[in-house]
Amino acid sequence: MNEDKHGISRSGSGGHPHSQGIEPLGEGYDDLDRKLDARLSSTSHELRSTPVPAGFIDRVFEASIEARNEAEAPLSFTRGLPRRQPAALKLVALAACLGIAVTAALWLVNGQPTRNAPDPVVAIDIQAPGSSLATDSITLSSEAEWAMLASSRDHRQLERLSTLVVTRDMGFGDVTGDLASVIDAIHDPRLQTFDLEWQR
Amino acid sequence: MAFEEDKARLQATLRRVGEGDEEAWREIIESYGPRVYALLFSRCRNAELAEEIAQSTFCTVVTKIDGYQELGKFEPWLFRIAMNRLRDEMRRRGRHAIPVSHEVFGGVATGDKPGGAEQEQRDLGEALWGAIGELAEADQQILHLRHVSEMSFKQIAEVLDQPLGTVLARHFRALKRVREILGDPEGLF
Repeated sequence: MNEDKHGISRSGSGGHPHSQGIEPLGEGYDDLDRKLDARLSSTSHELRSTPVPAGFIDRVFEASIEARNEAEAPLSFTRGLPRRQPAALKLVALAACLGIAVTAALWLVNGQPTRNAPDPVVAIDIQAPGSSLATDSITLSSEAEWAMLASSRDHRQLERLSTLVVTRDMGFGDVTGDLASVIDAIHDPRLQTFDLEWQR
Repeated sequence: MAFEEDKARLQATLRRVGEGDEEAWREIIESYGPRVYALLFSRCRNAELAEEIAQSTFCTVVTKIDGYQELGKFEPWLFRIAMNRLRDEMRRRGRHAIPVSHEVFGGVATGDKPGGAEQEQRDLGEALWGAIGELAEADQQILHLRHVSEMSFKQIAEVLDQPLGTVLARHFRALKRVREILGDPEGLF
């Protein structure tokens, strides 16, 4: 008989009376242990014979069949799929990985010099105030400018520019006579203009 | 039905269950259902909970039995699921297994007033299983699986996923501890 350190039988063979089905104790127990074990077996009869609730078998059966049907639904679906699906999925995943790797490599190869190159300088030609503007493209006559002003009557602020338009086509000779007259008037006491200016 | 007496028959029945034979599955439930329920009820003392866990146990088994090959492990497998479910549920509820009370041995259900030897037997049962209720949870499980489920030590080891030597040693110590709790068990016998 195969026994452990307590001398307990592992083969199940023993000589003490037990209710049917309970494995007898081995030889490592004393008489009191055996009596106690036998009493536990005899008194557990009421525990073993605990009546199941009415309809217990039917409820367990129906619930388990329902659970099995629910569990089989996805299984049958899986079985219906082509066997090569796992391999196909692997190939698709591999292709996706390769695509990402190639894209990353191209980005590194082409994008690196661009990133390292100095930023392009944007030249902005700033015209200083007073500098001469290119007037070649300005070919409008005074009549055209008048027309433009007339078309922009709604913009009252532009009306004050009308006097400048008058002077646009003036030559130096057109104004030198008037300027000389003004200067003469200033220096001629008879015209009282100078005094009038100072008196004011 | 006693599959225990006919392993070949159990093997054939389980094979039919795996093939989708519902009648074969019903035979399994009729054979093992009451035993599973009795074990669960003896541990939790709650008929509703015992049925719920038993039902859950059989649902789990039937969904995993496809392709199962009976090699003498079905019964430990079944009871192991049941015990684990009960343990998890008891932990979730923050409870421990409830010791067997006088309700089991006192004939409360029938209202009978037993006398003489029958009453002595019930008193003895109450005292013994009350003492077992004071043992460690693992020791209680061994004694319940042995006496309520009538499992061999080898099967108990498989249910509890412990080495056979550990189960035997725990059982040995459990009996000694019960004797200590009872004080003078000689008088009880």
